[in-house]
Amino acid sequence: MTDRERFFVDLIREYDARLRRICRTYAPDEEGRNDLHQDILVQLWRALPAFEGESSAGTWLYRVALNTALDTLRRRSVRRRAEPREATALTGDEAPSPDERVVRDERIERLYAAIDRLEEIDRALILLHLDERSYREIADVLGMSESNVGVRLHRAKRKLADWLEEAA
Amino acid sequence: MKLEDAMQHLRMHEEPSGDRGSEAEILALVKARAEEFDRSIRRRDKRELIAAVFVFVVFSVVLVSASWLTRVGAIIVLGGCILTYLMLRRANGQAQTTAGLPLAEMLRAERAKVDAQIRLLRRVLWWYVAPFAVGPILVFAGIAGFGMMSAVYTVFAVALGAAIYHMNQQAVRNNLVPRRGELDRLLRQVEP
Repeated sequence: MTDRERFFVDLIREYDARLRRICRTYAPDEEGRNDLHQDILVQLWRALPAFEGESSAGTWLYRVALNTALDTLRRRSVRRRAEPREATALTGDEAPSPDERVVRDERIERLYAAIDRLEEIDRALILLHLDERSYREIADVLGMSESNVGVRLHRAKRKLADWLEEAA
Repeated sequence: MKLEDAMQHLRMHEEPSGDRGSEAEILALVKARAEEFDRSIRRRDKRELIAAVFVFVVFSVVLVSASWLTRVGAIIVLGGCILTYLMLRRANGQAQTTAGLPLAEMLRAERAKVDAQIRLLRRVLWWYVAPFAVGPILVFAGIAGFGMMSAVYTVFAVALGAAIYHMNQQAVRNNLVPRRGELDRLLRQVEP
């Protein structure tokens, strides 16, 4: 395996869950998510030679992934689905009971449904916040000032909180 | 349901969905798709070059063997050929990957590319339609004389040129201008 291949594989191993979350947020269905996931991996592979380590690998990966997701969204005019998302299987050391599983899924689905209602950039802000990125890192990924990140993130969270209250 | 609780719940319990493959399978798939993408760009560049060379050779032959009117027509076509090739190369050259840029910079770069495409197509009459309509009309008239055949060919060439111009302007209106609007809308979200 070449250095480039090794770096790529390590990167995907570390960040695949985050990539899947981005795909889940920006693509309307399972097929669209898998297509977007592949598109992002291809863009990461193609952009890899230009990565010079000026930013962290995570910041760079987020940039490529979000740029690809928004580009795909624009080009394919993907329309967000209004209906609830598909149920997601849960795994863990202790498998949840069927009742717990439904409640867990419902909580995650409700949060995703609320995120779906946000504007595209606010969705990216929330995804980065979910990954517990600092304002500095979010600003680096999105090309915004830290103060703008703070203002927009606060507004987006307030909207999400309101929508979750409505849905409860 | 409190937002922070919901977010924490998602962080802890979300199981990523989607197709899973081994690392070797993923790597092979990604490399194959990236190579196919690069190959398609090389094929497009090659097609453009072959078309330009073909037209150039054909009209170069006309240039050395006919009347002054034909020669003028051939020179216009050859000039148009060089201009078209250069314009397309410049436009394609701007299609560098912007994938690793911060989102706002990527959006600005994309908007600049769309603006360049809009300018290119709005001027398509001068760098593409006119040389390839007027040049062959003169070549035809130089060979066939100013008779009915030349008149019919002129009407045909002008109608074809008008149709090509109209299609390009339609592409600007229906495709590029909305795409620019969409980029503006996204940029307004990242600019305070």
